[in-house]
Amino acid sequence: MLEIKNLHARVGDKPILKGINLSVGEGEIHAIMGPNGSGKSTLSSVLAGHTDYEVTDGEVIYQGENLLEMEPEERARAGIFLSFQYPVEVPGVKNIYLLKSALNAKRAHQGLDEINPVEFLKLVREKLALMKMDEAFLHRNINEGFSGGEKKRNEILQMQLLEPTLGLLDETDSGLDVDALRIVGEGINHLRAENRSFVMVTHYQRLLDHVKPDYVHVLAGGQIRASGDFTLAQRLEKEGYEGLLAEA
Amino acid sequence: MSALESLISHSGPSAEQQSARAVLARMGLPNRRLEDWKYLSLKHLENEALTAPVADFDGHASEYDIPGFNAARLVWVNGIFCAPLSDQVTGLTWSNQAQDLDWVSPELDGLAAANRAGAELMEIQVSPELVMPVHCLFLSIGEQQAAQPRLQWRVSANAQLEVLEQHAGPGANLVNMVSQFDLAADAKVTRYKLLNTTQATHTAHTHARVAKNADFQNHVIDLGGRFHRDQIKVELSEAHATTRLNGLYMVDGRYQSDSHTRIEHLVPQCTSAQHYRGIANGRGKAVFNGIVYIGKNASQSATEQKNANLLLSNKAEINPKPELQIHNDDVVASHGSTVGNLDDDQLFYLRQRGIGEDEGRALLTFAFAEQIAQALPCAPLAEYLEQRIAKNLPMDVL
Repeated sequence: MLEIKNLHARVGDKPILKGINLSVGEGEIHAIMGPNGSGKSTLSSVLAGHTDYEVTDGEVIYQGENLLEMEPEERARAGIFLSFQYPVEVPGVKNIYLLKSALNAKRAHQGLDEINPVEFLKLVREKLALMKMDEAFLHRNINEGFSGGEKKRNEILQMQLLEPTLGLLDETDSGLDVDALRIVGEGINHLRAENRSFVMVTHYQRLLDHVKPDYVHVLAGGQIRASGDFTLAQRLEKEGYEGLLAEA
Repeated sequence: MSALESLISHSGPSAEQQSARAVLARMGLPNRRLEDWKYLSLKHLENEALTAPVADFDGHASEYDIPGFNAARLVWVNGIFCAPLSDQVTGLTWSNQAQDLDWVSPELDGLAAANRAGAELMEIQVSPELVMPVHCLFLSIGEQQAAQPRLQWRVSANAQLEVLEQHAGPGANLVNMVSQFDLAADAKVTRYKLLNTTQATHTAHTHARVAKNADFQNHVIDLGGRFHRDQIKVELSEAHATTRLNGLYMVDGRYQSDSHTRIEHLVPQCTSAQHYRGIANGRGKAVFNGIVYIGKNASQSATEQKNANLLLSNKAEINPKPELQIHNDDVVASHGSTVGNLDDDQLFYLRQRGIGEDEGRALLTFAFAEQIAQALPCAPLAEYLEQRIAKNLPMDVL
């Protein structure tokens, strides 16, 4: 589904990704772990097409297409969803408007008509219940005045509705208390499917206790330094990044 | 003949009018040499002769109603009050025989002088029996007429007035207005001023005086036109008087909008707040000059001023000038003014959800203005405004 080859990227003059190679198959969950400043968040931003980053070398093939040539909105419509580490506040735009526009943009891309309002509301209510969110929340401005936990839940709610093919989860566990972490974890697990893959970027193991990855990669200095299965995350927990990277 | 010469010739016969005429002849119309007129000028009126206004209107005033805003309608055509088109309503009485408060001095500028010299004063008394909102419709019809309405609102103790002042119509006139609001103790006025004329040159002086426990709220919405200037002064003259001044100005093409506010805290324990937002596109120009004056005796005053501007084109221009003049130490004051482009992070967020770049930009522009619409304490007006803001955008965002 996703092939990343020798990916180099920089922000301004500063190189951050220095040759990433990663292959994500259908239905797989990959966890990217790494110390602060290793380039984890940059990787998910580059995949989503954030304009602050410049790709200087390498290629990314997503479902047979050159991902790097696609605009951010084209990537989204093609099924790539980024759950932001810091979801942006957009005062003056209601959540319900975003949900509906996003869903309809995707449907248009698939050659479908706009969703009818009754069906839409039914669908949204179902997802709200799953994320244990109140309906009043639909009429609040996007993320404005939300707590850290509410913002993250809102991200997963959007992901539930848009049913992406590839979910990029950037530090989704940060800023969550135990209960919120469980709800968010369930929200992600609920979406697990044979044809849906996830790349989860995280500093700590705690999200991985709720969402068990198939593969774990350790990113440091802009490169993947170690890869393995779930036990790699457990080793990291014991030995820390320094210990594990010294061995590698 | 210039506009100035025309205005001088339209002066009325009373001693006060003749004295204002002399002031006008001496000062002339404001020009860019005056600090308050530094950015935008009335140069286009220099060679424009203006005729005396005629109240000639054969349409239906109801065409200009705001859906859902049920109000008693008062109609002016080219500055002339039209009783046959206006509703009678309990709690509201009007007269053209009242003594002028003269709070807007002819010495203020040439426009204030021209209005005093040429206008006929209408006083509207508001009693606590008034329960219905009021819709004052100022129609501008025809070409190059000098419309000069002059209103004086006397809002008695405990009375509540909710008034929409709507300027509309296709006329290319000068509409030079003066409004005075006298709020007695415990009175409350909520005024919405909707500037919906594209061809008229609109200039206005408003002066409000707010007594004990009274509250004056002003929401001015400038949807864009050839030249719109709104100047307002609010005096908080007794304890616990409060005011809020909100505004939205949107200029595109070669439209110009000039907002000047002055709030005066003259006694202790008064509160004021201000929130103006502006959007400039094309070659549009806008000015926001907001002064808050806190006098020596005005301890325990609280004031807050916010001004945010969105510059969408490199040929557009916005000149914000917030000014706090504080002469007392026991005051809580905050102010902030920004000019910027759309937020890249917000735009990326929307695009990551599949919303196209153009639609995302339109949506964020709408959202920027929407914050003033949301603050309107009147749902039908807020909805109308949202639709109007959305209409000015390149695509459907509602």
